[in-house]
Amino acid sequence: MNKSDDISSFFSPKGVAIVGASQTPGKIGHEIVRNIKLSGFSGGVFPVNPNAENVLDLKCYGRLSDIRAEVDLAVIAVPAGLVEGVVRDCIEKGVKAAIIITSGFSEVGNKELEERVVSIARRRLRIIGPNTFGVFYAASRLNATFGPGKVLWGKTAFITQSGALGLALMDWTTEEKYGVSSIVSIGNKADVDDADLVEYFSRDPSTSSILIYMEGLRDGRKFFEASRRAVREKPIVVIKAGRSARGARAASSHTGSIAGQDTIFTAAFEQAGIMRAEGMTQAFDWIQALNENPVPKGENVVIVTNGGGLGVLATDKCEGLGLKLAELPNDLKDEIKAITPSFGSVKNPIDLTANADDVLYGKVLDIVLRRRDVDCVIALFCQTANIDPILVAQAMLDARDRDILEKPITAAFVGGHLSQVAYSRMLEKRFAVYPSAERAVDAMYALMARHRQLEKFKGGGELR
Amino acid sequence: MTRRDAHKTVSRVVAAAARSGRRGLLESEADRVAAAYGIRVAESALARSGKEAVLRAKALGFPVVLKVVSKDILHKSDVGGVKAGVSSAAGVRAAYAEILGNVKRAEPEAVVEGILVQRMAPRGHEFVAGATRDPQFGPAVMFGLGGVYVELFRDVSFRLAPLTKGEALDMMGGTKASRLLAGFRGSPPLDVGAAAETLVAVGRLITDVPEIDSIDINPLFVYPRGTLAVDVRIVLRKDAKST
Repeated sequence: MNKSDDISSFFSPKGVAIVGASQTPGKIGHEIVRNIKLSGFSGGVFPVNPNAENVLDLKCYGRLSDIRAEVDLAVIAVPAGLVEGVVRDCIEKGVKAAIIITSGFSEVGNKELEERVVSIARRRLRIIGPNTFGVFYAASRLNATFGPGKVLWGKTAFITQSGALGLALMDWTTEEKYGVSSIVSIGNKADVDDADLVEYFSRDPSTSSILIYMEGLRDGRKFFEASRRAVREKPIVVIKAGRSARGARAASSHTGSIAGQDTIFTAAFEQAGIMRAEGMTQAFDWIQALNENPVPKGENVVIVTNGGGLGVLATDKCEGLGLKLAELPNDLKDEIKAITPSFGSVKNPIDLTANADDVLYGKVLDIVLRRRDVDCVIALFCQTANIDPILVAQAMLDARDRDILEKPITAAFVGGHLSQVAYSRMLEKRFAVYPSAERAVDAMYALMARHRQLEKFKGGGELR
Repeated sequence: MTRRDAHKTVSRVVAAAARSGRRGLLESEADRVAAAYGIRVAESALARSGKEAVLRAKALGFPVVLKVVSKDILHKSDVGGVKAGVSSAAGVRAAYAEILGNVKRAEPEAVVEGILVQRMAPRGHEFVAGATRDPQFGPAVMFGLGGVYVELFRDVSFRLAPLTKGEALDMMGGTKASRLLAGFRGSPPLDVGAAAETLVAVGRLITDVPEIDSIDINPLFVYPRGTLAVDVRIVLRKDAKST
């Protein structure tokens, strides 16, 4: 690897300087220092500001060159007019990576300044931004952002092109107990782009899935090539905004006139093996399922429910998504009949009826999870008058703990307050649980899509 | 023909067209380009007189299709420039004269290079294969249901080029038209493998020849055995070099 290709200094730096550090709470240059300090980063932290003695009890330096210790990452939060000079200082100091927080570049039409900064840095300093809220990387306890100070650790690397949405989601992933391994606000992508990050995270041991919020790409082909390599290691989910936008293209051919921008995006994603989510909800549903579950080893899905209605909804959704409901073998039917003597016939979905309690759920889940001819299970529960959802949730959690054959399970809890408490408890225990049957099925679909993809790779699905 | 020889043949055709300031290749040129990349095209020959047309038709075998060849005419059938199902020498002479008359009336200024005599292809299911260049993703290949309603039904799918045969099969599976390929309502299954190879060839062609802006094969007939490109249209990029 070319040395300048290495972007690891953004994530695991030895020393980080904050150029434009501020003593004033609420200012960006202050919040970043605070977040880095509070996040427990173990490397050197060096605020830089010629007009301050110290920031948050850290010694403040007049210039980058005043710092004796090694600095490989600089977070730049100075006015746009000063960025060029700071970038030169970075190169002189031997800094390898710079996050340019400052806005006022190509996003407001100031392309020339952005290009100049990039050309100064070329081959000596890698840049994330400008116009970004920073980088969070859990494994080094580095929160070099001006976003929320507390971020829940998880397994997903989240790359976002939108600043505001990214900041909101940063908070939200913590609130919803999803967690992230990293957040990169990619800004104007003047240098480091989605393709670089996808490649990095595909090799990052603390990341098991990659989620991207994307509005556009500068180099679609580069992203395509990087992604098709990366999906062999980890699933990539993309929320691509601007589905409706169609590039105005001269229609000199049939092919050209049909090939709207989004058509090609869709095709490229599909070909690369990227999973394209409709929006945030679906993206996080998928990510949650992928992170918290093993990939299914086959196509056979079994649904366990306590309500016929939920079962039908789930069946319809399975049908629509191409998930195969397994035909239950007779010996499996007999096993279930033995513990549910009142049943007439046992079919898939397995309807335990409204009286099913946590004990029955636990037993039936154990039975299906132990079967070699069942590959994944969707467990549905709708709240009834006499059954405690929290106990049923516990039964599902326990069944998962006994799931020695490593089959994926998704679940839905539908109902009022108690169901929501049950739902939250399962989320906390990292169970892929959802508030509706359709979403539990859609989450299983993500796992099945991953299974099919891995099968294709196994079958020698060649790379060109 | 090796890929290198194919590329050479194509470069010559492309350079000649660019020299004469044409962005759209003539049908005969487009056929030659496609054939060089292993795409089976309908056999044809150019005629510059009625007499020549009869000779060509006899050599190819009846029935034949006659099509006007002119850089000034984009939609041949709109100006009465196509006569299909011509099955005798007398018919060929009459069709030749009729086409010239039609064209003269509709497009008096058009320069006519001649009339292409093409062996009438046995009817197959109509598909479309094509390629275009995306500003962000580069060359991409299209497959779908062909015919005049391509834009209406939009039953197509795309893949970035170059593509493997596996990817071509995958892409065909993404269209409703793939049900026709599998054999629909009692019709025999069609040659999916040959169709996939055509798509791979289209992808190679646009990848190898940067001067090409777009390729349209519509219709592409797919038979139970083999395929046939009946109408190949190739447009060059604005800045295509003439050397």
